[in-house]
Amino acid sequence: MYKILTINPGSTSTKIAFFRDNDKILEKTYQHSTEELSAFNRIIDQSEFRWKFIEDFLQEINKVPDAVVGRGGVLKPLPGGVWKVNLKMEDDIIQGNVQAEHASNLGPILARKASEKFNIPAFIVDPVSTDELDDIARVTGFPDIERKSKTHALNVKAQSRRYARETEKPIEELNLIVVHMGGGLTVNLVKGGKIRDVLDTRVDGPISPESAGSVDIPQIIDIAYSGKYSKEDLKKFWFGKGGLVAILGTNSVKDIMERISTGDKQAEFYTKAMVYTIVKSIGALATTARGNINAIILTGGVTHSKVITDWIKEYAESIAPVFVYPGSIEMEAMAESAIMALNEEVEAKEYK
Amino acid sequence: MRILVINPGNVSTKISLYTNEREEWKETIEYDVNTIKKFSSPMDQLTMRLQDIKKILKTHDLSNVDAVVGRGGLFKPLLSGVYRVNNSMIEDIKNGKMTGKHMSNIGAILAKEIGDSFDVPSFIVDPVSVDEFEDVARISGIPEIERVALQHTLNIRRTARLGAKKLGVNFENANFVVAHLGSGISVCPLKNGKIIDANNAIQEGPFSPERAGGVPANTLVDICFSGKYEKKWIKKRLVGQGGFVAYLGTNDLRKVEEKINAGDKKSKLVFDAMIYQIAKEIGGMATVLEGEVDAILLTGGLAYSKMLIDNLVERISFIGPIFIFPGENEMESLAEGALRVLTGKEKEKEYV
Repeated sequence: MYKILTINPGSTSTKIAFFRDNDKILEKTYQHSTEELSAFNRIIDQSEFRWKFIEDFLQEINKVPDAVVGRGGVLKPLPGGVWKVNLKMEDDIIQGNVQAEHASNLGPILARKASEKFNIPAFIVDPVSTDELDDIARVTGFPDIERKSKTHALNVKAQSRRYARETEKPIEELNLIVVHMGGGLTVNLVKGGKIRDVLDTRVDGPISPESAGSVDIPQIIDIAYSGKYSKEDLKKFWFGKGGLVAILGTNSVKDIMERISTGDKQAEFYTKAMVYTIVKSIGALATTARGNINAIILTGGVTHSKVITDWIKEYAESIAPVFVYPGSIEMEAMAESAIMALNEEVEAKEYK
Repeated sequence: MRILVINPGNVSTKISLYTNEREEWKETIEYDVNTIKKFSSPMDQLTMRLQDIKKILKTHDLSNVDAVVGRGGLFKPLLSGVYRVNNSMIEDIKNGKMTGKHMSNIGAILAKEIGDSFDVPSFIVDPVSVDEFEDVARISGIPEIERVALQHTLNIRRTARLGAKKLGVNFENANFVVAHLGSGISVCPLKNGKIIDANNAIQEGPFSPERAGGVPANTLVDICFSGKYEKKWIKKRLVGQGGFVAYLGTNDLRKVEEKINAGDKKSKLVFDAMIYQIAKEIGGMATVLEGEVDAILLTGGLAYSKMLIDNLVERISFIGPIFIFPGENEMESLAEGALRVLTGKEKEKEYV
């Protein structure tokens, strides 16, 4: 039996959970206000502030964990799986040798603190910067730009393993399309457990509640050079201010669903337009596995809306059976992978 | 029926005489690039082009011509079909009430001038600016940007007619995905004869031998603001200097194939990546038809390449039957359109 501590720092919260094997004993979410966080220059500077909540949590649970797992950050591109948190990883994060400053980069830092406190191993699992793309998927028609992978690897891979378990098929033999619909939105081709291509709303994928996805290239160039937008303002269309929120004024799918149910035709039309781009992405990725798709899995917070998942099914069921795995199982996924590493079912990789 | 076809291109004007579906003769007036460069707009070339056409026509017996058909241009958004050239069309061309500048814009004027001189009707057929998008396809994730319907309409609709004939079904009752594979690539779903979506060969979708297609927009914004590139350079790099040209220094598919056969790995990767992207676009557009695809039709100059077709077919054959109509024959497509109207098989449309 293993006791596992999992730490998931989000942009405005820190989620902490304690597992006894795969059973979750306690989970707490500590919210942080914008004022509290605005005191810090860099996200990395928040580590002491966030650590206090972990101390509180540990006092309450009053147990010594066998291992700690932090949410893996936007590090350099890495293969997926379990990684040991080491000094080199911490240095890279502190020195900014990462692809972006992101709250999840606190995951390895906080995990390392816990590992020092209890003298236990620390891991990260399937970081956001998991990059297992096929070479062919990296090429664009513009050599200065290479397609990269930043995706909801942790949840996407965990849901893929869940599907494999439930259907009693080896994951190595499965081709799945996993659509993670949360604040972000990624459509992932998972081939033999590896994410071989991804369409991401923050780069070139579908429209999402708060991000624009792919847009008309000549028009975006004209806008970029028009002098009407600063780079920061224009980039916001992919980070919080594009997609549904730009048109409907809210990124809350719950609110949008309420508007649709009370007859708001505009809300319905634009949500359908979003779905239209999602199903096109699903159809596109199906060809990368020559149509041999075992299942399409819809996951993430947005899947709580049956209206949206039903609309997706209308189009996508012609490709493969569609399963809805609502919510996100990040904490469970971290614990599960750590246990597999402790049992030596998977290798914990050395970050270099 | 005897139909005179006039097709003004960038550096040439093609003229053919058809008796029903049979081409009697064809003449091409070639222009020197430097001569053409002196003109600032297609309209300025009208007199020159018209005089040269008239010279050619004098050398042929043109008794009993029933109609003249010209290549349609970048008009305002129009429904598909055969339009009689009328005064409001001419006015819009002369006053620049068009979607863009293109040599084909004067096709209608040339047809009318010649048609009037014989006292016969003049037509245009399926211009590039045919817009039969479903509303949901118009939405992008940035409100300022609307997805625009522009595609290789003439060849795409002709190919769909050929596909319907092959399947023994009525064109208006069939669903196809048509991929026009040329120096630009258009992939369109046709639902009951209507082009309901399109990647727009310069805005989204696969790269081509000389165009970049849909590159990651968000990353492109960084490049625009980097200060390293002029807008003009970027636009050139996207259309004309993109795709194969950017990577391999040629837009000639045969040269790329020769290099692949000689074992050049880079050529192979870029070639495969283009096909990978074409397949993805076809898969996305098939999903729009909810999987009800009677056939996938591949056309355009690149469809002559066995290497390309074999590779592509392998990726998309799960979607439905595939038919290949290599090349494109604009002259024949135009003649056939006019013939359908003259023989009462199709009603002409009025341009308003």
